[in-house]
Amino acid sequence: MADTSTELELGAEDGAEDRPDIGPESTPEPDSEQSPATPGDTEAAVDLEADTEDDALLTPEESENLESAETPDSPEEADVAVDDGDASDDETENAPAEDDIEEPADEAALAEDDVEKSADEAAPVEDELEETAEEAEPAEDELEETAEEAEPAEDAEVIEAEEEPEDDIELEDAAEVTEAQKWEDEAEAAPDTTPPATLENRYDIYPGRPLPDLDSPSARAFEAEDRMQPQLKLFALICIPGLPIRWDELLDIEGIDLPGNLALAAYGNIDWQIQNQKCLALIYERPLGGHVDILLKDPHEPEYKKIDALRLVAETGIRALKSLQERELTHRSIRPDNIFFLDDDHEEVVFGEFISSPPGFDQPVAFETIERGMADEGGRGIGSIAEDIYALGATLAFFLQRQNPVRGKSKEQLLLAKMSTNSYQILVGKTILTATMLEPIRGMLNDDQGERWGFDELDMWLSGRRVAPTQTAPVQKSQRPFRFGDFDHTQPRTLAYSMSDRRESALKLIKDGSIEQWYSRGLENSEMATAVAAAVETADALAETDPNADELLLSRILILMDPKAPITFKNIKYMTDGFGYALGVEVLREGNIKTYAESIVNQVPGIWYEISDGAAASQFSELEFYTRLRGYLQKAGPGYGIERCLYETIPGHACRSPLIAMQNVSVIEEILPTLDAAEKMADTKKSPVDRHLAAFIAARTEGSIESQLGQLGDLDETFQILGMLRLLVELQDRMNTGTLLGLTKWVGGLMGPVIKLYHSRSTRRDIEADVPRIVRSGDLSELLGLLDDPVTRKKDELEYLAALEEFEEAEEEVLGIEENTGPGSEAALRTSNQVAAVTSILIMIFIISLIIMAG
Amino acid sequence: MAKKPTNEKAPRQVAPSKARSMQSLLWVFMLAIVIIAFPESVILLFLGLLPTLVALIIDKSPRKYSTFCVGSMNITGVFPALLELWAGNNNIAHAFEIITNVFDLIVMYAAATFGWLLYMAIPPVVNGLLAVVAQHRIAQLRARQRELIKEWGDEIIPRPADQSGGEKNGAGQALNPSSAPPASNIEELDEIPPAPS
Repeated sequence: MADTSTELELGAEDGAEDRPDIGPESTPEPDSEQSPATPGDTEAAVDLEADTEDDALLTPEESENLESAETPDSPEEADVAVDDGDASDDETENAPAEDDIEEPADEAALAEDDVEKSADEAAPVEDELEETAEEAEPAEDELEETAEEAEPAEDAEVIEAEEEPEDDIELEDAAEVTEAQKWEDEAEAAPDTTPPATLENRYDIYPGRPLPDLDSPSARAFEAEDRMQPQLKLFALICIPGLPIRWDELLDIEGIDLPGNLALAAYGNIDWQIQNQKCLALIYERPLGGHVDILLKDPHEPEYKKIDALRLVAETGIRALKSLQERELTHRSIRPDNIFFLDDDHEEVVFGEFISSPPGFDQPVAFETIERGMADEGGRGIGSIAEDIYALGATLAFFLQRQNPVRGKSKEQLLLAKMSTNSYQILVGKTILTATMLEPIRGMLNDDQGERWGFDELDMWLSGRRVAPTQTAPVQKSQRPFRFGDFDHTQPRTLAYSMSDRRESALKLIKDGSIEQWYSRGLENSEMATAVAAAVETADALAETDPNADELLLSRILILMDPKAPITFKNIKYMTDGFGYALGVEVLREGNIKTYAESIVNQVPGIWYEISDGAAASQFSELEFYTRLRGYLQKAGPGYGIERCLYETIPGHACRSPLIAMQNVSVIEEILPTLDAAEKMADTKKSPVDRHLAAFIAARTEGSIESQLGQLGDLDETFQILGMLRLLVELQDRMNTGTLLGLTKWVGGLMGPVIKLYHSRSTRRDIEADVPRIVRSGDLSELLGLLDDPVTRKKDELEYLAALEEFEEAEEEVLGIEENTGPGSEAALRTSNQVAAVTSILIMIFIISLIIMAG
Repeated sequence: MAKKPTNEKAPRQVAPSKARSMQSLLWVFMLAIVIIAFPESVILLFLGLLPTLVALIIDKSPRKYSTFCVGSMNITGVFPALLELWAGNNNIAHAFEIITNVFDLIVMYAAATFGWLLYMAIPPVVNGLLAVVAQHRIAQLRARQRELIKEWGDEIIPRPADQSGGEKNGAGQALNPSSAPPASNIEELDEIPPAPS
């Protein structure tokens, strides 16, 4: 079926004649004379053979080659043998000779050859793919340009490739480069005489003394000194403000000794003059021996030293991961440039820091598992120790080789290659230092997490015992490849990944029934074909009412096709445990935040949990978590929305409110003092509680503050202000914060509309007269008591109603008088005539009486 | 089922007219007796009270205030002549003698004229007095309203139903009843009612 398989597979089946990137170095083949393998190697060969029979991932040539490997006596012998073979002073000079022995030597690594060669042959197609990808993902432009530039280098002479610096492993993603580069550019402006920043009145951090060797992709390193113990060698990592960090892990590891990991001495916000704002500083012990990969790439270092270092990395790495697992932590930043020699003698190795960025954020795709590699950088998730074991395996694989086997490959190319074969074949090239490490690397790079080596297997390997081979489940492949995105896909998984990056085309395929047809005819999976058809039918029914029906259909189909893949919606991808960090990164980049909100509102995680196979209990809790997030998004007021999701999902994420963003506030206890200090700089005509602050307070406060938030979201501005005051008072009470003169002054200045809630002008005047006194006391609760006294308010209401009634009565009386005393009014005329008549009668009676009495 | 027309109102309409006719008949009877019994007094009163009779005829008001005014004064003017008749020869000749006495006639008719003057003069004066009192009362009420507005603000002025309802108290309740009378402009409070003419 070579004519119908993917191009990658075509390449693999075409043989090994054309290998442009094969290096001059002699491959440490499992030959008995040159490089006797360890017992582990023999076992590895057996395992590989067994696996080959099972899943047909290895070619027959590879199997034969592996069978030819003989059992070595000891690892030391293997190391020496390899060293003998490769211990050349000038590799360029040795290149022809090594070329001569290359063909027999390469037999041991035919699988790797095939994969590399297939990747090379696929390059033109991948170039086209890159053009498409450029349109879809501008952020990866730099990466792809780098890849394009690297392509000719691979085709050039091997000697030229050797002369290039060895750090060709693309350890930076495009976005990381953007953030870190910007950070670096600004930081470089600090002169050496810049006074140090101080943390906890103990640690001095020198902005003018950068340590670029110790930089992390998301944090810059500077010299640090401990005033109490000046003899300690320390350095400080200054984190990028706004970038989510791993707060929970930070709290867990501070001040404790984690074997195999850099010791975190202290952390905290410092006034960082370079950025003119507060930044989080992490104080670590300084590794004195430099990067491990520098030693391993140094052509002047003897091979045995490199192999010793490799063994040391493996042993220390396993110990480091165990110590992390004991604390239920994950590292998620294990990669070649994040492993250091702790001492000058290169006898102790440690993993570098993993706090300064989201889990997996700084990891190149090669060091991430297939599933997490598919996700956006920020959305790779915390994962488990299995992901760390994979990363350690990938790191060891890179250390093991003289050349980078995935050099120049884009993210998509690398992932498709991993999925088409497996990670081991893709990451382990043919020019390896020693074969002793192949067995654990193969175990650690197993793409099936259930079958991946754990600590039991690693311990067995360390103790020199044989590890039972694992059975890999056969991958369902189509006899009829499906061509999409310039690839011929035989697996639903690769097709789903390609479709996720080309959503419009993918949707057409789904709607015209191509996917359903492929499932029923190509994969002969009628159950999936029915599921796809049912999903399309449901989406068609909802199309008129739901504008996102098509996107939801596509997300559902993609999850159906690859249940292990990240949640995908529109152009975002995140693991179920990576939503918060993905959102945080997107907020920092001011990117596509709306899509993240839409994915939650449209319950895409629910679709993922519905389809994917996971533990029921964890599904329930995680689904409940996403349901809670959806509830937040469905409320529009302050304290809810996407901001609430941001702070609920990222523990310790600094508040992004423009009012205090420069202060990098991560804990709720610092909010009020920071706002208090910000009063001098802020526009005090605006409320001190904006959406970010309300969400931050709501997420970080224990207990419910729903009533305050509800009032904060009132349509009436007056009640918003009152709600803001109540929220701040609640916070002040809970945090036992002292006097807040600035904040009380700020809030007091905004209370005009609240004072006007009282109808009585005299009451208003009394309150206004009292406000300055309370402002001077700095007590927000007293201010609230003055402004919102229930007794005063009730009295005001009753008196107001009475006054209203009195006014109406007066008005009616005035109207009545005006009506009855006007010129020509009937009543007035009648009254006056009555008066005249009565007067006449009285006069008559008077006169007649006089006459009678006189008479 | 259609109601049958009833004639219940017919007897009631007949009864008052019968009573009125009976009352008129009684008056005529009594007048006849008086004329027959006291012809001299009747002659004197008839001629002396002619102005009152005229006022009664020309006064179209229901309460006949002008008749009261003129009649009261006219009676006052006739009363001395009537006493003279009753005190002297109470006969028709004496009655004609009094009637023909110009002085007595002048007294009778001048008194009636005075009564008319009272009817002309008193109402405007009373009107004026009433206006002054009302103006004072209005001034008092307006002053009180101004005090209320000063204390409670413009919102105390009742708004029309379609403009009210937006205001809330602290508990969010509507303060202005929607049934409040139409609003008076606050400027109206300073207006003083026009003085009576």
